[in-house]
Amino acid sequence: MEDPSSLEEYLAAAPVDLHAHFPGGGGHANKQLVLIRGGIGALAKLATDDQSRKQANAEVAGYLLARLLGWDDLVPVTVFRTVPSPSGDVDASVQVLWPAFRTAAELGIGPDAIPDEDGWRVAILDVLLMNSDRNPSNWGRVSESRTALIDHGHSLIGGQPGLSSEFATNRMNHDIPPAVREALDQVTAASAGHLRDIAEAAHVDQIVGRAASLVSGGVLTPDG
Amino acid sequence: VAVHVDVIKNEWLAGTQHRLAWVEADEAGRVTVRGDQADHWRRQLEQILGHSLDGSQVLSELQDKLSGTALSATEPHEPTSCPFRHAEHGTLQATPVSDPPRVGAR
Repeated sequence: MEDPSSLEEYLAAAPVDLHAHFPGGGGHANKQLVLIRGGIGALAKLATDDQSRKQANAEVAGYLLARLLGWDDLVPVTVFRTVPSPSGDVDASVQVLWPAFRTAAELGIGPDAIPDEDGWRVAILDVLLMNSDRNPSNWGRVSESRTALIDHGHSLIGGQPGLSSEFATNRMNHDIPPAVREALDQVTAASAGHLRDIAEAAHVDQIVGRAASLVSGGVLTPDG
Repeated sequence: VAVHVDVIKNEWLAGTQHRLAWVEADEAGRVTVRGDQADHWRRQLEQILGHSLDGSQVLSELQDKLSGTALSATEPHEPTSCPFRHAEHGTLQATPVSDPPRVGAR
């Protein structure tokens, strides 16, 4: 499917038939599985306060930016919607769950273990998003064959900007491959497209400016 | 009494979570990683934190830093209150939201 918008629309509007939680067991007060009508399993991150709302927006922004770049094979479809929860209906980011996903930490692999093209794509996403938390627990492989990313809450739009990404660090001051520059052109040409529906204008302008700077400069730098 | 955090893999689609390792700090602040792949997880956790696992404060750091979709860490606790004291696995608790369509009686 070249155009994922129909899946986005379905995910955003279809009924939720079930929600489920892990009791006790660690760090999941704001996360729940939701079963979307038709059998789609997705993870909802609940926006229960200002910070969690920013992080939920950042999850959606990570997907929208990947899609704008034509790299939505790296980030699963993510939307912002209302979901039922134990405390009633709550706004949330809702992200389709990767099947057969193992993190880099589980696999014991580093950024050098994936194809260089994928490494460049992750590096660019991290620089544009100002991802302050790319670590071995939030990237990995699907069936040990496809690079896959999760957890984009710690970023500019999530209110925790920075740049902590070995993918980016390893490529600093390197020439950006032509195919990657072409993808960056899509961000500037569309002026970030639907990102403006989910993020503050100033943040989106920073992302677009950074993309334009990367294209014009031709090399990877921390601030584009 | 030594306290520890559990490092957990969350298999949301399978509806299960299981403990990968646990990180224990004794009263002197010595930190030990335990489990079947303790050495592997010490390396990975040090990479995630960005420093070595020294001092009891790393337990709280792990809880803060490791709170993702796939991997997470519990808050520090004593063995008697460990959620994995009886089994290495946990299961999702589901709440149906809607009733399935009813089939008319024949």
